Amino acid sequence: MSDAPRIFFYCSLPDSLNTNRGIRFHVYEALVALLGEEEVTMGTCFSALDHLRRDRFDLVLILANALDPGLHRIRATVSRRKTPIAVWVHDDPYEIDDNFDLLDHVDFLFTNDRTSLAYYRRGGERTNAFHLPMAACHAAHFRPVPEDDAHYVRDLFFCGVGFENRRRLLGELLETLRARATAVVGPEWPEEWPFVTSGRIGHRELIEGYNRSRIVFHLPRAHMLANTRYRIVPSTPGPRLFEAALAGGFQLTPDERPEVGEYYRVGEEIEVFRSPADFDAKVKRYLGSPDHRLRMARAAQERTLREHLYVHRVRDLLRVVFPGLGVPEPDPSPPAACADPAMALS
Amino acid sequence: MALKLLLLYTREGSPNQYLSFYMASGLRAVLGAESVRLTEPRCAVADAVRFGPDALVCLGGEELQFELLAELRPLVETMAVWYTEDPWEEVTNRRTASWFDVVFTNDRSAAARYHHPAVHHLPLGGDPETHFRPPLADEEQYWFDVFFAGLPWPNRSATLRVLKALQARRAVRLIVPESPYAPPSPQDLPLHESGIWLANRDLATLYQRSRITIDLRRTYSGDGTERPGSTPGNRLFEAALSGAFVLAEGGRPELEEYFQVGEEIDTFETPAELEGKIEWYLRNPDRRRRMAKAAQRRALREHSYEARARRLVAALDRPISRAARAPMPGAGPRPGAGQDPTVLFVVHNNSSSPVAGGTEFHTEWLAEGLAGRYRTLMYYCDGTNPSLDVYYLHDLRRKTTRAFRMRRPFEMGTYGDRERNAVFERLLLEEQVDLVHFQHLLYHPFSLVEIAAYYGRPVVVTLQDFYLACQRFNLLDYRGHYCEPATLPWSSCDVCLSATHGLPAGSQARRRMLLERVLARADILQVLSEHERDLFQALYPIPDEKIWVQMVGPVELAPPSRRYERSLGEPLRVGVLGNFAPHKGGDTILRTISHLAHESGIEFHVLGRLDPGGLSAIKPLLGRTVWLYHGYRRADLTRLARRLDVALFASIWPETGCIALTEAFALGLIPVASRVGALGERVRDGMNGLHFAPGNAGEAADKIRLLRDDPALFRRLKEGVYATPTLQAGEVIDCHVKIYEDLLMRYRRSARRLSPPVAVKETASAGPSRFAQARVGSWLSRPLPVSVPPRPSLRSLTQASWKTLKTGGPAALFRRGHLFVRKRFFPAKALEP
Repeated sequence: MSDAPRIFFYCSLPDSLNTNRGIRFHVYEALVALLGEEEVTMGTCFSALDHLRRDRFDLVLILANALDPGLHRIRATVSRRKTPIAVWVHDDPYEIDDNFDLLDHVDFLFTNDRTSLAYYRRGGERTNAFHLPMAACHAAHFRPVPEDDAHYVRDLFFCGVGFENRRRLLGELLETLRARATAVVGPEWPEEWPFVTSGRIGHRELIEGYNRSRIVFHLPRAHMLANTRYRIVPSTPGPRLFEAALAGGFQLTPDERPEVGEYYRVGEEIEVFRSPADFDAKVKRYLGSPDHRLRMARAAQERTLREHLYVHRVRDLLRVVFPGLGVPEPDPSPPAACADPAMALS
Repeated sequence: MALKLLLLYTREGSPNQYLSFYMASGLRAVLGAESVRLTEPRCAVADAVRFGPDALVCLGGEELQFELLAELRPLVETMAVWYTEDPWEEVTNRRTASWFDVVFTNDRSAAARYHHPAVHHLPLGGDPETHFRPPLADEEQYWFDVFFAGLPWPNRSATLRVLKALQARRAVRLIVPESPYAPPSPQDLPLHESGIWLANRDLATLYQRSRITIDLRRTYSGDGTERPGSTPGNRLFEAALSGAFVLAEGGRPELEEYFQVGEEIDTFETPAELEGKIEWYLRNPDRRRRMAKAAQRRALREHSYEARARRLVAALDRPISRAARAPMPGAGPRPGAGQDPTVLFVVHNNSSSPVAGGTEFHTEWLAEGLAGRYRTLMYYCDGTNPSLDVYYLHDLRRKTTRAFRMRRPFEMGTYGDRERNAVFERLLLEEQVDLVHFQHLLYHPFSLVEIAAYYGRPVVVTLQDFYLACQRFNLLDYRGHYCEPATLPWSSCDVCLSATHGLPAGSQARRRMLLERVLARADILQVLSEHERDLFQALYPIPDEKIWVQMVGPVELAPPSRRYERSLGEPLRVGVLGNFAPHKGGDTILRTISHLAHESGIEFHVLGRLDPGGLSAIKPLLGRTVWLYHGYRRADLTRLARRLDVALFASIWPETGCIALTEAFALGLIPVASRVGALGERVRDGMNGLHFAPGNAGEAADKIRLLRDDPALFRRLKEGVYATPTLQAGEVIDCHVKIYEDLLMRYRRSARRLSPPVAVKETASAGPSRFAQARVGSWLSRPLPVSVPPRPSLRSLTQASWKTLKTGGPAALFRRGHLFVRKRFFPAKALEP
């Protein structure tokens, strides 16, 4: 891209405190895919200040899951050069209480959650906040959708922390889960459930799990860490929705976060259930119609490749920050390699 | 000129605060973006002062804070409230309505019961940006046949039973979450129906995806009384905006005013009718969808918050009588009405505490010095109590003290503490504080600074040391070395704080981020030296105009005699004025003394306290070349210093000001000081003192030898000391008065006051107000009028000693008793070498 902006990109927290550190690499690769490697510098919260004192950039992009403690020094350093700062918050509203103050420190704020956006904008008082959902990374998450049902090793799969709302929800579905070949993987699940495997798994196993399970659950999270100021109920699904779709998973999700329908067409790319009986009926229906299920999984994957990759999100972000700049459409061909770190589950 | 409105949602932490966003958005569409400001209780006063609104509109009406309203009242022309929980909160609301010039209520039946001259009915509405959904293209896109979302109020039970039964043959989705405000649902609903809370956007989507949405009325009030309202709630308007076909519970003639029944929505009266209509409308999708579209158009046209905002503005934008205003309990007379402004000093201890230091003495001296001009208050913690859970407010003019016992111990370095914040808010309002001067924030949550600013009080923060830069407030790292933080990478701080406090990585960065916010709220930051100013400005973005370089320290010492000169052959008397702590260079001083032990013509007089370890190191020299005083009274300092020539300052940390150095200059002593911080700045090497490298005892010894052996140098430096300006008490007081007056003037100017005193007769505060009781709780003690002893009494010392005995053992008790007896009964003997 000619006259591409120079971006300095880093994650606000050290990896030791960040359970979603893989996202940093996905965003970096998306930036590189759009702007070229020479235009993008990735640092850490420790090295950011040195980079910014040394070099001149057109944008400082911070991936944050909470208030960035080093931001004031960063701002003091770049404000002399009038370099804008954009922050992409990826854990709203779970730790949102402190994040409202971010708006005073940055030029652009992107939040992963649509409902939280209204709280940043405060009825039109702020105009520099935007919604930017999480996404998937082709190199890290793509697996082909199989041609036939023999590829699968189990019927139902969920991987994630057993937050209370998730435990309650699966608790209502126990009868169906027990009757099928189910695997629920992650910490904090009741150990007496026979299909539970406690602990965390690596990134590759996770993607394999999505790809080799006939039905993948997408379960919303209601567990909050710092969300007392407005007690916001989130609406936008997290990154697992997009990752599982890209991994070729057919997804079934409860209807309580219907914003999911804005990313995937319900009944054509994804399915929702409203009750245990409805869940049981849909499990029966989709396990009994592998072609239909595979068709939907393929459609969801194609939609993800078309609209829900990190390159799409970064493109949207750059178009907001640099409205006059012709940000190119993402190249549909996947990047050659991916610095794919071991990803922790959240 | 457009009306300027300040919009305040009254209940902090309420999940319904989104209503204020919707209304703010609607008001902006009507008045323009610049004419509307949204605020919250904790920053309402500050926002009102900065924004200068014509009217304040309180939204919700729950948990109204009377004192806050009293603060806001002089800042606006019109006080309005929009009660949004009528008729269920009507009884409470009717009591508060008289505080306002204009009252809006969401319920028409309730409006008739307000005895207020300006009551308007203003129903809730829908927010197109949140709720509008395009109509679905065909029947296949619906997820549910029937949908209901709402709390399980008892009057809804019968209908919920019908809907549950209907689930057997229809896709009926119920979301009836458990709530602390509603009694448990008698339906025993499964978790997927009772354990879900929806985002407003998602609720709108579920309305859109449902063929029929049920709207049920609520009659249940929190006090258990049945109060059926006449006006539909917000969900009806939101559902209509979402494109839902609404089947509403009848018996509400007012429904017809909002939607045409039979054309835009339909109603049912009985469960049988509900069932019948559900079936009929499911069989007649075209009719149903036509009605839904008509209702959506109507809602967009008439029931958006923009439409509501137009009505609200029309009601406010006309002459308003304030005759109905009632006086507010708990609001005392404002300063400026014949009363001196009140200045609150916040400090960690008071000076009578056994652990008090220079900051506490300075604060008390200042508060006393200013007491003739201001009503001065001191708010401090009992620092001798290990749990730091007792705080005092001492009124220097009225000689009264209020005590506050907290339920939880204080955790050092806490940013925000709900309990202590609440007490502080209460003090600001009840004591009518006009200006807050934070002398030290140790033992206090940092958020107190923000609270003072949020309540529109001018804030001065004195940076007595580096506590607001690092919790190691003398900036000595885990090795005991000065860390020079201005250029230090975060990782170094992480290593140090991990080693010294066991803190995780990122702690320092996070603390600085929060403290940046705190310091940004202060109007004036007082630093004690230019070195301190430079360091804080390197760490935080502090503009020059906010910085006030002003040394602290009451210097009420007799001026030195300019004629005094040391005779040849007389020993050089070196005084050590401060305490003998490690960060004060105790080790360097001991090594200097030991090194010079066998030199003739040099004596050391250690005036400050010395720990037992240090004592053993110089024991053989006692009475020969070293004399110990074990602390001294400030009043005795002039007499003590009369026969001293030199003062040794060996701090290894960058002292911010050093009161002892000010005293040395005032007493005409030549300082030999380590070249760091304020010592390095205030002592000019070869001009009015001599420098040595921090921690370098050999260099310090050489400088002392030089002064002994070079009478010309001695004389020159002595003249330099005499020529060094010393700060006099009157100057310090005058400087503070000037700063305070400027700030008070600035804040008064920006606060737009009503021209006539209107019909408000303020009443004096008597004890904790309802607000305070409600917010702070009954666990707070009532004000305790007790006199504060100016100096430690025998009784307090006995108590302190007993505490020490329990914590420090018999040796500590003996030492304390010995010191007490010596200082109290043999002061002269103790002071003379």
